[in-house]
Amino acid sequence: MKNKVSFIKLFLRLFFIQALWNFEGLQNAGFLFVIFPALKKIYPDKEKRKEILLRHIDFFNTQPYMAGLIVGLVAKLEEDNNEGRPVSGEEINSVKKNMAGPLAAMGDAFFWGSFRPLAAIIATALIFLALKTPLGISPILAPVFFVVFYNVVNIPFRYWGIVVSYKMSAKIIGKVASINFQRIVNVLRIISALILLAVMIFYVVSYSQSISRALIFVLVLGFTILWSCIRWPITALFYLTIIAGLFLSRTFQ
Amino acid sequence: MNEILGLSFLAGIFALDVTAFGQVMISRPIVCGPVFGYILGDLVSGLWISVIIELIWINAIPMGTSIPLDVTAVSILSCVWGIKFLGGDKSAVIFAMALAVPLGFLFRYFDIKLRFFNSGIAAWIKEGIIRGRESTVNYGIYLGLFLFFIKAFIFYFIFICLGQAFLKNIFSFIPYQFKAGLGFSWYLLPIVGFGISFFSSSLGKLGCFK
Repeated sequence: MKNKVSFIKLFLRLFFIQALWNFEGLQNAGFLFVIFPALKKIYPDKEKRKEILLRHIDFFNTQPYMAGLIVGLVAKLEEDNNEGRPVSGEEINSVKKNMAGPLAAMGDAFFWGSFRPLAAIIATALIFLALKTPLGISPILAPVFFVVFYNVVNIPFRYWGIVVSYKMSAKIIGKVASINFQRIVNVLRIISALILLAVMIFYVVSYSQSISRALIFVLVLGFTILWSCIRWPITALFYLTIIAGLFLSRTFQ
Repeated sequence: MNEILGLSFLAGIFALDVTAFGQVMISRPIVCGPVFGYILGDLVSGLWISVIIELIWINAIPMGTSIPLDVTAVSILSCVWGIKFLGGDKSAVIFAMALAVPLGFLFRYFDIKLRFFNSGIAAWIKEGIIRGRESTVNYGIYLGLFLFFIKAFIFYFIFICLGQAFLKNIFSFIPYQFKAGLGFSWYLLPIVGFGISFFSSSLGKLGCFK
């Protein structure tokens, strides 16, 4: 693990962490696959390595982007363990499992609960701007923007996670705990809501064509928010809207 | 047939991004909708499908053991059926989307079945390690990846073929009034998407709505 090539190997393998996702061990085989090159380097003796590999095929689950933080730390702890520093196999397993849950919660809330929706909402705004304004924006830019904007954060984060947790070792736990993820998530959600509000107004103005149709759009919006408050199934609302369209078309077309 | 094989192959690649490989979000409707729309020669319908499905199911993403309906399958089938087989008319696209949503749930069903099957492969890896065959770690992962791909490829191939065989006839039986209604839903569904996304990014986080 002393040279950079190992980090790159771990990073590339991190993309496969869910390739064998299963209901018994979840990401267990994926985690082992990711850390395998590091374990091979740390434990050259095959017999000794067998015990370590079996230890790492235990249940494991976290948010896939956050897994790098655990992979780097576990690689470092295994190295310490092999070099005779006071870290036992049980302790390594315990650190691994105890970090997985909180990191999953952070990763889910940040990447999937707020950052991805923000990227999608900005891409949606770009689509409507491209379709309805003479700004000369190509609509194909919207999905390109989504992929670039999202991955320019997520892919380097995965690499950074491996490197920084390997270098900081156990100190990474305190470092991660000190990040106020909830504050970042709240800010992203507010930005998403504001952009969405602007897109909604733009859409109603651009596509309503008449006052009565604009009123229908506003009513559908209000009904959707009410439906969401009650937490009824979204799929049912989707079909209900299509049925509503069948009745309303007689009035408005 | 070659075109359907090609579309199914591409759909299988996109499907890998959902869980098995990468999660760089190319499988999200906002990406795969326009890509399939562009390939099939109707970018605008692809974009519209992507906006509707992305915003309505903005929170639908597999997290841990929770597996929602597969929005990638809904987007891809809506594009292929609506644009390629039904001509890309507004009512045709909404009709295709209405038929594709239950298949998103069917895809999820197969996904769950495969994830149970994967437990057996994980056990095989463990057995391999015990017997000193470390190569099972790599082979097991590549096998898992292949199975995720082949499941998606077969699924898309079957349903694209079925769409080609039956959809045009079914759609031609639909009365004009009904088609006009589907066309009007084209404008209503993005509003529903805005409402759901707005709720989930703001009001839905208030304690009283949790």
